[in-house]
Amino acid sequence: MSQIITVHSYRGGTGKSSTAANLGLLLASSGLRVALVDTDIQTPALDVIFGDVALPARRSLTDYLIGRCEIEEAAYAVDQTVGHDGFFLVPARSQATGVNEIMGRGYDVGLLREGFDRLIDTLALDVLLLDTHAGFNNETVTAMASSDALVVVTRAERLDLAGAKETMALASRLGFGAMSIAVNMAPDGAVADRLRGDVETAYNTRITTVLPYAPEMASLAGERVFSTAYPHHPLVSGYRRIIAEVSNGTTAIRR
Amino acid sequence: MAQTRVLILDERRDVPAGLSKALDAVGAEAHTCTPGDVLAASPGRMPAVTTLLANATLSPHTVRSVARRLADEGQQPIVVAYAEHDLHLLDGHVRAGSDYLLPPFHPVLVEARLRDCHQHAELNRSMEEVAAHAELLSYERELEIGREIQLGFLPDSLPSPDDWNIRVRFRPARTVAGDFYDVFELVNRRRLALVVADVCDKGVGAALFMALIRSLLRHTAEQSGLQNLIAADLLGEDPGGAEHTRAIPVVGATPLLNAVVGTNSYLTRNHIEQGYFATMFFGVLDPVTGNLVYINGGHNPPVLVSGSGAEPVLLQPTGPAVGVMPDCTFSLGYAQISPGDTLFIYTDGVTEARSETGRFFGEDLLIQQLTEAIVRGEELLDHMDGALSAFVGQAEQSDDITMLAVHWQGPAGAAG
Repeated sequence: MSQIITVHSYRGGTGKSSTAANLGLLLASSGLRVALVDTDIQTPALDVIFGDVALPARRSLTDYLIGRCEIEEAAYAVDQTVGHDGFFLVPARSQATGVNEIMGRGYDVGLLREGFDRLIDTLALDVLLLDTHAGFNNETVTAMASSDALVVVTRAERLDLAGAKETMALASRLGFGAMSIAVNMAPDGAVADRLRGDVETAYNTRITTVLPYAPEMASLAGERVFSTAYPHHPLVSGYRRIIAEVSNGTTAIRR
Repeated sequence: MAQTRVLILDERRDVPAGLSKALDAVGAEAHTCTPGDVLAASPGRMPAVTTLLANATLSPHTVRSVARRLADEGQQPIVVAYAEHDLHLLDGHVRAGSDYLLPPFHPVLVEARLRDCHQHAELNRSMEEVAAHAELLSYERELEIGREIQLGFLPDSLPSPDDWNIRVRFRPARTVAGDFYDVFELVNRRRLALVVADVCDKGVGAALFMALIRSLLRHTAEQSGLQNLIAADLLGEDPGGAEHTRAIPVVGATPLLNAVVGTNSYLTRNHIEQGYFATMFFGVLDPVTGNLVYINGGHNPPVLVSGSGAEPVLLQPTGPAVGVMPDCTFSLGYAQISPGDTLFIYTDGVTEARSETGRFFGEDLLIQQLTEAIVRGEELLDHMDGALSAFVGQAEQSDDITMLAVHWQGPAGAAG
């Protein structure tokens, strides 16, 4: 059965998009057919992260939403060494599409869900992975409402935890099958007991994984995806723990 | 001059000798009566006259009563007052609108004078007729302009997506109508809006509200972009109906809801005292899948007629008529149209069409006729037109009639 997984964080700068990119790559490397959709129309990131392998894109999620193309025309095969041809990226915006176009005109939110379903069908996906804009807007909430599983990326600090209550209220209303709390950018890969308690109280669940702060990430300067560059880094093990938590590991039943 | 028939009115039936002689000389047929004679005469007993010659000693009021009595009999003689000596007595009569005749009563002068009076009266009469006719023409012209402008509020042509056949019949009961229909593209041409509505009442008032409601619906639907309510709904404190908490609107539901709810609140906010409202069916169709999401606001249930022989499905109301209640709830209805099926949307002018004996056409007969048309493979609207004409016979059409048929052509060789 196909699965839709959303990666979300309450605030920006938590490493949400990097996490989504790495999860996508690792899921695809395990043999699953995966599409990664950047639903962050305001501040896209995935087109940059995969810029050297998939782009430039002429079509995007935005082009689909404002009626310029069908969603599958905005899906680009990512030329990575995942061992098969089933890894795709749908960028949030193409170079030709200004953010003003969609913000000025608006779009029918029903198109998001319809587009997700259509991607799963036409690309025969096992996993549809959705990267989101921080906080809550229409794309983010619709992505979450469309998903079976939620990955929350947070830092162990008061600013990030401030949004935990809202996130959890929404999550409980939406009723996810699986959920993972990833504490990112932890110095030395550890969280002090007191902070750990704060995080687990705020989210009312245990932490799935603590992802270490990796200076190597900064030195990559976004030029390669981390798990490709440092496949044996502890950070990559953390990503794998998230996958173990949220992925149902099954492949879609092909029609 | 044609024969002049004169009724001389005098309290003592006493005609001045000169006048009598002059009338005689010009060949006029003269009768002499008192006002009492005329007023007391039984219907049909008064001679037909072209001129009423009244002695100026009578009061203008009395003369007017006599003229009115004659008018009751269908006579419209010209009224001429005469005086033999006291010419000032004519003043009141002239002021009351009568013509006048002065002595001396020489035959040639009397004849010329009476002829003038006749011509004057005829001219007046034709002027009045022309004015009345002109007024009528001006009303009719205004109404005709109204009709033409109203046609501009209906679509010029209907969209025809691949494999779909959309047809309409629109017959107002009067020059202008309260019914309307609309078909237009939505969501970057991915969906088709189907609207059939019936504004209460008929004629000019209904037509004005038709123009308003049609424009509100279409403009709102077309301009309805991002719906922030979706996020707001899910993030709100009060989850409302628990079963809706995970609902992501289907494509088209947002413009649909915005259009109907927005129009309802506009009408109830600005026009509730005028008492106009509309029943309407507003559907949004996906021509690729046949999925239909709709709101039925107190309208006659459209009939989804199966092309494969299944029972017809009625798309029942999902909310009240639009423009009646502020802040009421409109729910979404969903239906699936399959290849070969036809969706028949209509107004109550169809089911409430009356036969010469006063019977209504009714929903049962409607469904029976629709099914029959499908079984026989006849064009649906032609068939319904025939069925309605046969039922109504010579009776007058009392209400606007609108029928919209949306047919998904089946695979080659299928019915339809």
